[in-house]
Amino acid sequence: MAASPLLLLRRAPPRLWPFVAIAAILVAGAILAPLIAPYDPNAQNLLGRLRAPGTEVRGVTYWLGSDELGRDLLSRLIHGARVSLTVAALSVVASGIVGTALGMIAAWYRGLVGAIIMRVVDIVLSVPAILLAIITVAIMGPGLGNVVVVLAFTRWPRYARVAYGQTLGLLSMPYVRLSRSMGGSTLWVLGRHVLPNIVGPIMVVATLEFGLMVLFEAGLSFLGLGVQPPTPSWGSILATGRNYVTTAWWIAVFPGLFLFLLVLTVNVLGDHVRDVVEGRR
Amino acid sequence: MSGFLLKRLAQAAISVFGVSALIFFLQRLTGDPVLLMVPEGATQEAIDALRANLGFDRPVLIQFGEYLAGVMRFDFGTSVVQNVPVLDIIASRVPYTIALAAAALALALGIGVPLGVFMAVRREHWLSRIGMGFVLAGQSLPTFWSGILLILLFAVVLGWLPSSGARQASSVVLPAICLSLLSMATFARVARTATLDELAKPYVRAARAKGLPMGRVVTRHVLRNGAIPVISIAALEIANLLSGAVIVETVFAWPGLGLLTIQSIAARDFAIVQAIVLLGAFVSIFLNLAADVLYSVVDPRIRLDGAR
Repeated sequence: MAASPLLLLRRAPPRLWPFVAIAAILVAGAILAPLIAPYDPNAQNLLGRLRAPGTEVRGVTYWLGSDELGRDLLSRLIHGARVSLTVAALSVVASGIVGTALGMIAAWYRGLVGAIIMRVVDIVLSVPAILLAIITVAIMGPGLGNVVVVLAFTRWPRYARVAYGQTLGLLSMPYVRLSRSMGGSTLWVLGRHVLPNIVGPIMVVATLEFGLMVLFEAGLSFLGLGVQPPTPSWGSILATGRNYVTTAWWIAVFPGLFLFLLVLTVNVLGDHVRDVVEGRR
Repeated sequence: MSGFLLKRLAQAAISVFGVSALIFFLQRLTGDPVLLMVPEGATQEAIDALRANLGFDRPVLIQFGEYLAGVMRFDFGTSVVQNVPVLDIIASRVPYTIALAAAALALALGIGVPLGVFMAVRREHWLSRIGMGFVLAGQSLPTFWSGILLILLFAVVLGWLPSSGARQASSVVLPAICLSLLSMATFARVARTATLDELAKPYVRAARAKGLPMGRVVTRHVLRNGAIPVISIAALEIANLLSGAVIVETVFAWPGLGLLTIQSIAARDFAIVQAIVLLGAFVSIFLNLAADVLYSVVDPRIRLDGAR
């Protein structure tokens, strides 16, 4: 039976506590960004360009250094967490809803409708995801909203496959067949009896996908196809840092470190959620 | 055997057609494809001229038919920017991407598999603990960051290796390491699990009981049987390496297909982008097919009639 991921985390073994803490800090940082970021992430200070971490310029302390326009890196990274987590969360929710719905519909109607949906699933999954994302974003144009749409479009088949398999299994269960024979409508049977029972496996896919979405958004932004400047995104800050790697290492190193920690945390906690849902622990 | 092959070939053919259609209509549904190809600020006359020139003013279905006929002949049209056949441009970059992916695959297999086997055989060894940490980290490492870290350490600080380009043979080292890390972690994880599974089987105990040293049991028996899952995921990993090359090539300015993709998007040379994505999808479909076939070749217990 599905349990809230937050409940699963409360029962996390001690070795996972550091990761729960990192996740909490990153989420809190993203939500409270305007309150806790020391400075305006877009405020330029041409006297404080490319300053090393810990430097103070006219009363402004750059804890993690400054970038090529003298903007405070720490403030940009805190606001960047917002972008990363928002894009990842929105694309996971969007692809999850679309994929789950289509997977359930394919299993319910089977026949031609099911065959077409599942064939499209195979086709979309046969294109390497990053290439599909790159060509779609190249067609649609960059920007935060478009990135979410592109990621959802690229990833919904993952959920559809799981939802399809799970729903097929459930439709042969006695209580679901009873509900259908008593005249339960499609929406009623799927919403009341099927959906609550496939939420667990869908949640497992979603947690494992979340880390991937963070990497995809950062990757697209790194390539200049994602979130556009001056909005701070870890990927685009990294791309700038690449140009200054010989003179200002911090611009590339810190956003990557944040990104790595976030994805590592999501993957470790995601593995735990999967083990719990699949009953391995 | 032939029945299974025919069925998988038919599925692959449907996927190839489907991907071609997907890429074509994606471009048509989301707006005017001509606008993707002209420089910003182009006049309406120039746009109309290009549209007529490329045949985009004709019915969509006719365009789609011609496009499919072209794809089947591997004719991806002409680059609007360079005025050279797209296939020629792509062909000049393919060797670089293949060289990079091959070097990365060699690294990933050469280090990942022995590491995975070691982690299974000597579970309590300190090296195994480090290895497990690497497997976990390797899967969470953004390649564009590890690439920059490699440049920072080996090119900027130590000055041992070139940071970008492909002017000398040693230029391939850093991008190959960067590209291989994720696959290396995957191979290590799969090899570890496969070896653990084999070690738990009765034949290992029998071999040990008759006095065979552990090293020989592993090299003579366990490795052969444990190789099955490793070989079958190798085909899928090649697909991952090729698509992962997009970002790695950009970081290291390696002149392969990945860098070409990003350069073509910047130059609004859409015919090239479309051709690369199609080729990438075809290669990925073929490798998936190869993985399925390979799986049954290396493991005769799996019947090839699709009744798995």
